[in-house]
Amino acid sequence: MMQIQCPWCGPRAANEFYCGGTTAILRPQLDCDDATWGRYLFFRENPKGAHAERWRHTFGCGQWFNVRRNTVSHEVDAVYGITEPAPRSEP
Amino acid sequence: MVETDFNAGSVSVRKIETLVVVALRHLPEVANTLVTALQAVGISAAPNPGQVLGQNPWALWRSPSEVILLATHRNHTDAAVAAMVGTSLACAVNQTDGVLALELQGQQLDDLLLRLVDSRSLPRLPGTSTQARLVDISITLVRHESDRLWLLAERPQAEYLVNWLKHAGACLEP
Amino acid sequence: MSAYRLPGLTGAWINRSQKLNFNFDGRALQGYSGDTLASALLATGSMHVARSFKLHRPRGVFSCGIEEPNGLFEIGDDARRTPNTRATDINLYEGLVARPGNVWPSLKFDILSINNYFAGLLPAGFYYKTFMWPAWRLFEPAIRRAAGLGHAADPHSGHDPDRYDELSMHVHTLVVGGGVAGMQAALEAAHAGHDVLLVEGQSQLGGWTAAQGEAARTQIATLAEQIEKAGVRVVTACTVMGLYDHQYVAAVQVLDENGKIRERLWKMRVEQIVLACGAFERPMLFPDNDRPGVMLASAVQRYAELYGVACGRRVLLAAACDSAYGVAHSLQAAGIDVAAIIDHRDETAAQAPTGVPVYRSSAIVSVKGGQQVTGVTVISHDGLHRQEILVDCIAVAGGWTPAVNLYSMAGGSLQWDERSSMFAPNKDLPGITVVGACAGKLDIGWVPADNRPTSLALSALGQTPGKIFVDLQNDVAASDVALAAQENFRSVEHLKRYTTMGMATDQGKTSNVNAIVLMGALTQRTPPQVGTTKFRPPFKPVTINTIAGGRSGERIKPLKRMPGHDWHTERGGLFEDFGGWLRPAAYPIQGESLEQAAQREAFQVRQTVGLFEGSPLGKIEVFGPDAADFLDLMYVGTMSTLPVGGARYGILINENGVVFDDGIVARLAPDHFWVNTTSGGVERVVLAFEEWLQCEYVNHRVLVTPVTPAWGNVTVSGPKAWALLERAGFYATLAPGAMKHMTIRDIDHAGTRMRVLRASFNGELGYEINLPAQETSSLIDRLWDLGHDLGVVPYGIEALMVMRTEKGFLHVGGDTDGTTLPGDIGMDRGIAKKVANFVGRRSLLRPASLDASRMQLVGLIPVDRKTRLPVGAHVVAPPGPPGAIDGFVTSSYPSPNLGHPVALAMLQSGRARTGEIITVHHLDRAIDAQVVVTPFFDPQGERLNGRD
Repeated sequence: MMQIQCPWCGPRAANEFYCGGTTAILRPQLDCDDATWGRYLFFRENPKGAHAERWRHTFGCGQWFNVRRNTVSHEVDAVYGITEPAPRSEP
Repeated sequence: MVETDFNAGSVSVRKIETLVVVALRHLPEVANTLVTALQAVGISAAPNPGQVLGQNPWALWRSPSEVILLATHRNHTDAAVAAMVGTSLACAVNQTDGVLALELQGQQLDDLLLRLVDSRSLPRLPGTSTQARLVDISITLVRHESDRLWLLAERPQAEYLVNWLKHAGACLEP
Repeated sequence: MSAYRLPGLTGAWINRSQKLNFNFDGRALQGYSGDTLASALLATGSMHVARSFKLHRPRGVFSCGIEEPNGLFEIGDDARRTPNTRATDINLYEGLVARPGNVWPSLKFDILSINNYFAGLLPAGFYYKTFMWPAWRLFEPAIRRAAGLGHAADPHSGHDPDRYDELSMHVHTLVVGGGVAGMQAALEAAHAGHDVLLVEGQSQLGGWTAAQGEAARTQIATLAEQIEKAGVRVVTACTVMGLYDHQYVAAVQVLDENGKIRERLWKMRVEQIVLACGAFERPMLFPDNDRPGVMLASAVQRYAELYGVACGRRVLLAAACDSAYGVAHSLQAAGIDVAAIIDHRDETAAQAPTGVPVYRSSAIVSVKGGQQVTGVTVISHDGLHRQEILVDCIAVAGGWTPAVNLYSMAGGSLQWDERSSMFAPNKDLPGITVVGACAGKLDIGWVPADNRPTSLALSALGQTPGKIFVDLQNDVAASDVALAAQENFRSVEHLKRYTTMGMATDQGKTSNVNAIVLMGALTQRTPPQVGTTKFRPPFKPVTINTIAGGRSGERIKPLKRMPGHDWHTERGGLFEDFGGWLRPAAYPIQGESLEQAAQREAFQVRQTVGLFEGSPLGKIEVFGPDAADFLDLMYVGTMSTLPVGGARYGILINENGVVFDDGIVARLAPDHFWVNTTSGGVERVVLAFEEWLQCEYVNHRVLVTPVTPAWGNVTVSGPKAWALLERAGFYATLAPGAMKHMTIRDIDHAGTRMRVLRASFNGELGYEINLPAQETSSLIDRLWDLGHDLGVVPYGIEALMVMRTEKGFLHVGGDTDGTTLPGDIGMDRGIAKKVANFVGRRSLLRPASLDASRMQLVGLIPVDRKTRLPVGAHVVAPPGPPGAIDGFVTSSYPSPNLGHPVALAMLQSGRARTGEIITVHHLDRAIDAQVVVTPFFDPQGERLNGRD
């Protein structure tokens, strides 16, 4: 079971959280065409590697925050505010 | 309501008959309103995450926009509640009737809780508090002393909580 | 000739002064404290103790550890019966009862051993090719009865009476394995100042070294003292069974079988893991290498040194590895007759004990004895030299396989060591180091990969050789591997699944490498080119109740109680789980069925007045200067136009436009709303609100506070609802004439703050009295007492469902599903006029959303006005099934107030088909029904204002 670093509560077991999926997705303008809207709703990148996603500490402080996690190794290399841009990755 | 006074192994579990629970909510712009409210009940500053400040009332951090006040009587919280009125950017929400408060005491307190809660989620030092997951429900833990702690849960979950406390207590080695 | 207990004091782990009684296969036997079931059985001379899975060949104990493939028994009785348990892994206890697995009628004479004669018809994958005509399902029951390795506990014997514990902890250094390498690593970590936990799967520390003689055991004892002094915590009989993400480790500790707790699950978060899991011995491949009496050499040594058991009167070593020589020395020192060493290799520096002949460059080509080994034929690789040797135990030493299971679970990759013919860890991983034999640090000299007899030797035998077994537990032979290669199942993943090698409960601990080597030999590839399959938890079989821990009975899931629970019990409430809350479905009286009670209650409420507890309804306080705008964003309807004191029904949709919750939103003040959700939905509504506020609409100044448990809800509804409340002292400001439907009042009633909402889910004059939860019981009790002569009746969920269906009111999740849009349920009227944006708006403009043939919620009345339409029954376009689905029934009840059944259904273009007769199909029945508009009952809503 993964361990997630809540920016407020510290490291906690992953089952205290709800994963909200890919973060920083830009919502298209509401006058976009149906195909664009459909892509926004139903299509996601599925990277093998770094994935920026959002988590909510539902059994704790209830706050949303961002995490960049490697989908193969589960290594987390960044935890940052929900409205912050992703920090640059280490080379 | 289910019987809430019992021994879970060697740990005594007793219901705290009246514990006033008030959620002080505030938007970031009015952090000072929160501080003023706390000062009105003798607490000098807002608690940080995990920190418990004051003594009757006790103030715990719940989230960046929420501090929980616990007290044995509303006399200890009324002034704080009053200070939150008057701005639409802050409010006080009384949660008292929805909270079941239990006091757990005993040397094997941690042994008991580690059977129910992940070890990272336990408040270890006196004067600390956490919001955590106990099996499948959300609870608040307030550590008063190394062998005395309060466990707050939603009242509707009382049967489930007591069942689990008893089960874990039966697993303790004397 | 057979195994026996060595005389004297041999057996470092047993206590000869403490005898234990046990029962095997109906025979009363004795062993010593410290014995395993396996060592105790061997000591009584029981060589043949089991039958193999597919071919039902006689088998004996093969190993001295968790890698045991043969000695699997059914232990215990009734609710404690456990099948498939390794005898080598059970510490003997007083009163233990064990039975062999799949044998009938007995171990000695097993009918299904006949399978052995048809072995040619039962190769790998036989079930893909045989038993297919005329139909597989004709053979399936017989095959199922023949398969399997024992019976699970009979559910009629009751719940498992044993208790299973679990514990969570975080540890700095976890050392897995208490052999010498592990203990040394623990000592080092402790001296570095770290908090160290060492877990060892056996009952004592020492690992492989414990069986290497007295001096070795003294070294172990010293080391054990040192680690204790250094503050290392040691737990024995505890096996790490899985390594998970972020250094999360699970281990199972086996406690006293007769004690308070049977097993304990350790769940640990670890900074530094040290894997010192040792290595498993690799068997030799020769014909009939599965006979009772063929055992791993290190096991024969262990039984002698630790348990004082000789595994045979005359032991033969069959070796491809130097460690066999050490075993020969140990056995001779224990007084056991060592017949010879058959070494596959042509030379080695290892020395045999005096008087023990060594036959080099040779292999066993034939084993005599069916139910037990009686002798062997050995032929040199060139086919020229032949020996017949009488023995009753063949100790095989084909090499070693580092126990890389946990390392592999952590994502580690393996490399093939050419010299020692083994897969070893490639390198340490972040947070994980591997030490000792587990890391492949073994001094065993050169070991050939393929240790089969040569074809020259086999043809020199002069008769058809027996089967060479590769995986003992699943009866996989070398010929099966050859078949897989021949049929092009060459990849290691196909090899595994086609032959089932490595798929039994031992997970191939003693078979994987041999199978990979064989497949390589057959396809001109090296073992690393064939590769290995992925290791997955658990490392050894785990009792499922240990993983469940306390999750049984009522502890399996939270089931919430309402504040008024006791009152409902007193009224005879029949409780059921509704959305995670324990609520009365109805209050049956005088032998009524649930349905009869619900019909009575639904009728009575509309005659007089009913009492209902609505406490589980979700309640959220939404507060702040932007609360109104925010709710406009969240809801399909407009909430910002609510006057203070007004209330409105709202629908919540997700970004896909699909309805996921509904409820009444009431305005208490310009910047303060009281939001109700469905009883099971408050968490997902709060989740949605918070996600929008925290992640997207971050500038909205809104505070969302869930308050469901803090407030109780007493709902009073019916024509005499106001009459009852008036009696209870509620002020006339709440009277129907003064307080409009869909309004909310904040009042003080007898010193208690209450929020009274005039709303109705059943269509009657209704008041939802929200009050501090602790006051719920006293209010509902008082109203009950005061209402007797008014005809007050408690009503449950079922009656409510009947009444709301009579009114055509929908139930989210019942009448809606994952495709339902607001327009489908007739809730889209205000959308075009709504100026503000709201979640999901764009999705309502998609072609599919605007399609006029979409399913729409309609009312149905059976034409015969008698037949209840089954929920889920489908409407199919004429001429009937099979055909395209036209709709389906979503709610259906007999209506006591109308005298005929009523139903709601989703029907394509439903609203345009009012009056049409359609046919509802259920199993073999076709029921005609008419499409009608709802409400069925009181269509003008006149009852909302009640009567005096």
